[in-house]
Amino acid sequence: MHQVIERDANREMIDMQSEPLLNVTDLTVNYDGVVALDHVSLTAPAGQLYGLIGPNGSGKSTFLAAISRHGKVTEGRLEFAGRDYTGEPAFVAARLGISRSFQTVRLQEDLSVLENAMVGADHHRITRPVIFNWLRLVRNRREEAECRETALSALERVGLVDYKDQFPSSLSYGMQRRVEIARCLASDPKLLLLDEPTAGMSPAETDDISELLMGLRDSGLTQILVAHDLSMIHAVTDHVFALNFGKLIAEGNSVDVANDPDVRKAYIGVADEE
Amino acid sequence: MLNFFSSNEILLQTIAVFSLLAFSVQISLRAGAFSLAGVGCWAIGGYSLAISDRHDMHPVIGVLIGIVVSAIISYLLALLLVRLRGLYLGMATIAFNQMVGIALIHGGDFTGGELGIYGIGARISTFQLFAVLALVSFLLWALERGMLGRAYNIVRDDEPLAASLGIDSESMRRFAFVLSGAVGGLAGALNAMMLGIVSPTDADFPVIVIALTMVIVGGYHSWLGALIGAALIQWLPIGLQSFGIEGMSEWWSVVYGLLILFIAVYMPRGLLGGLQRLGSLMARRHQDFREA
Ligand SMILES: Nc1ncnc2c1ncn2[C@@H]1O[C@H](COP(=O)(O)OP(=O)(O)OP(=O)(O)O)[C@@H](O)[C@H]1O
Ligand SMILES: [Mg+2]
Repeated sequence: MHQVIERDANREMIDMQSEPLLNVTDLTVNYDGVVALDHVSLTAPAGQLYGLIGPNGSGKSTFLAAISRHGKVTEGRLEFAGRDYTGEPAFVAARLGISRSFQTVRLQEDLSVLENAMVGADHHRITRPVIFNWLRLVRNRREEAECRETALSALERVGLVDYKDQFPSSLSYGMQRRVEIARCLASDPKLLLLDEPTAGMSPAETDDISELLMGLRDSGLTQILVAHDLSMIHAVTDHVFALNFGKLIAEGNSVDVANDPDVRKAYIGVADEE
Repeated sequence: MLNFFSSNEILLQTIAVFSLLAFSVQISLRAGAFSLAGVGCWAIGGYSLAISDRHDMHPVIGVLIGIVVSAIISYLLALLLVRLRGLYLGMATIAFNQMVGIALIHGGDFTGGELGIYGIGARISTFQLFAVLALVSFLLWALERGMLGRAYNIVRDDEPLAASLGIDSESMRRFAFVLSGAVGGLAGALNAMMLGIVSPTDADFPVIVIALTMVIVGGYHSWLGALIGAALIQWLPIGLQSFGIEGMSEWWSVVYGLLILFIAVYMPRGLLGGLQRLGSLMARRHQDFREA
């Protein structure tokens, strides 16, 4: 009950904001001949948990790669909090507050769980020139302590504080995924992009992640979630975008999108093939 | 103790100078750039010192010129080679070293041609060499710990991940390139003071092989690995001799080859990595023992 009220309060705050957080106009991505994204336009106001669905190869990962500036943009325009960042490299997008996970787990094997999360917390220091960070030998210690605190609270949030001194290879797949989310959270992002964070997880692990994402949304974090599991999409998202063959074919709440004739056709078409 | 130092003075000096050369290569390897340009800078540093010595400049000025010239050339090289990775970068930097060697041969009176420059007057003491080594080690220690250490790990292993975390891999690698060049130049200048001569072979293949071997044997993940590698590789010929193994000139290269083979196969992170693994294994044993 308490949470619901808080969430509604958040909603109202969001409605009052005029600028959408993410604004994508005519986004097109060509891979020598293959049109992976075809004039996709969408607007994402802050504070919501968005779902991005579509059959295999429909362009979901390409979309996340483009808006995090990891992948190329052939045509179109990307705006984040009112700022055009279409031509920026990926590290600049990250510094703007766009944080992402990848479709496969990417942790640093020779760093502990805590250190992996601290990499995210280094976010604001990493913008300074290397030489500046290098010569700040004395103040480094205090900043290091602050960074550790931030990382610890991110680990707390994903329920992994007890594992902070372990190494990634000794954790289960679901836990490794959560370390990645903690690393993203430690950087205090404005927009979190998650590419199939629950692929290959047990139902219990999936529920844990669902709960975590909803909790984050309730605290105001905007997220875009790519998932194949439609029941998860129903359970957690506020708004869904559906892609097929690189085109945005539907958007709206999860029930409407799932009942959309084009979406049904796209999924049944895939089911027929298999 | 004192006796040991005086009888091994030359070995100690060589270890100090070659540790700096090893640092130079280690700095770029650690940043994920397979660059051997530190060897070209070693020659540039040596010649900078030799030439300024001939013009009666203070040795400190000569060393500084070596460092600065090496750093500037490395910066330009970094801009030029920014797109190259792995073996291609390695080849390009070997080509750079060869070009330095050729330029030194054809430099006329300025570089002394094929023979190089000898009779360098500037001298350096063992103590001074180790003071420089300690200072550079400290700076590298600072570069490898905390935030920069973590960031360089990721730049080396996973560039897309680095970008997703706001890390500008290109500028971090460029910094490593310049630092690697500066340290290589420093090492070369000190070497010139230690030996009293420089020659175009300073940029040649054997130096590249020695530099790379020291780093691979010791472990490129840390400055300490490079230091261990340099000490071992410089000590080994003398060490084998003192164990009474005769006819060293024949056996040395066999032992050398076997050592590298063994480490490449069983210790991908070099001796330091091997020691660290042993250490953590023992710690775990100890803990199990206490828990039991
Ligand atoms: N690097 C690339 N080069 C060429 N074609 C690519 C590349 N990456 C993706 N594609 C193509 O672009 C299309 C969209 O791929 P994308 O990976 O975005 O799909 P997806 O929706 O994420 O699929 P999945 O559900 O399997 O992860 C596919 O046809 C794919 O083959
Ligand atoms: Mg995908």
